[in-house]
Amino acid sequence: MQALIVGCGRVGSELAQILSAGGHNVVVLDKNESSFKRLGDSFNGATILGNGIDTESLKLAGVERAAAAAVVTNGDNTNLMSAQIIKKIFGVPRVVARVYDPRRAALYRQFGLEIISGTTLVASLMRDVIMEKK
Amino acid sequence: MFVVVAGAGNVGRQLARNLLREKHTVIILDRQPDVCGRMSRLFPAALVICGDSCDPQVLEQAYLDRADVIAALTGDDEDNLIICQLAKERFKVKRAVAKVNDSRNAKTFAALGVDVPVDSGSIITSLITQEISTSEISTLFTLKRGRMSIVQVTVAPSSPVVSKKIMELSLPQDTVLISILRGEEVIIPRGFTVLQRGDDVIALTSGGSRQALLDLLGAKNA
Repeated sequence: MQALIVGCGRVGSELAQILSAGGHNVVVLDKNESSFKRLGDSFNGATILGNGIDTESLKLAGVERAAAAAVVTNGDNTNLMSAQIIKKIFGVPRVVARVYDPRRAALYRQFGLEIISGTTLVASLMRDVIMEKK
Repeated sequence: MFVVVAGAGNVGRQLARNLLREKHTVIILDRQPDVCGRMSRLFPAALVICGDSCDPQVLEQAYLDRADVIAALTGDDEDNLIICQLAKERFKVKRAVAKVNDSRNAKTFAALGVDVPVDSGSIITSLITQEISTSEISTLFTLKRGRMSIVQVTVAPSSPVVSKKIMELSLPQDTVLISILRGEEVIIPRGFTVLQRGDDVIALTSGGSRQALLDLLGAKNA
């Protein structure tokens, strides 16, 4: 499967390595060259320098051939905009975006985007640990 | 009309001033407290709310559910898109207008539901290009985001239109003569009006016909 990852931060680089190790074709897009260092030496996918909300950058990153995309830059609005471009303009079948703000995450889920909100996820996991009965 | 202005930079501030002068109801949103303080001193008639315009709760405080128009004018295109989408989808605002800071995003805005993406960069560029390329023609007013403009051209002595009736001219496409200024006189042109050298012609014309109009009236094509 060809997968596009927008944003090569901690989550993006980790996901890229996991998918790449699983034998998938991975392209990582980030606007900072230095972010690609996080991918390490074992990563054998492609890296493209560019902007996740720019259609030309996305094309260079092979969005038209991607079967799935994960959008994990550090900006909620950038992720929401980029994910919509990838899904609605380029028609990539599976698109997931990370959104920190739980309210925006809930609303955009209603609008039909796949959203993972780290904030809500971590908070509820923490709650489970705190409330766990020994 | 009830307008919510998100982003009180240069454009937001001037828009708020115009709208208030025309007695519209205006709510101004900005995330910077010092900007908000300045806005409330400048516009006592407007409600100013300090907060992130992309936060649905802040938009609710701005009574967005009752607004007729949202104008998203921050310096950040991602923010402007999200503000418009929240306004339309969540608060059912009928008209969403956004400033496009990076011209490459204009098409994306339109594709993702912004009713009127105003591409500030390309509008300013087209105005400047017009001024550079044809200095003998001056723009008095622009319409439809620069696509049409009202211009003033002086009839050159060498122009083929001198001593001709307007009905005899073949005007460029999309061009209408509005008035002729001759000395102290203002003439509303009719078919039989005769043009003279030195007449200042006021015309409505499109961007594409501008040069042709200048070639006809001005000195270029003598």
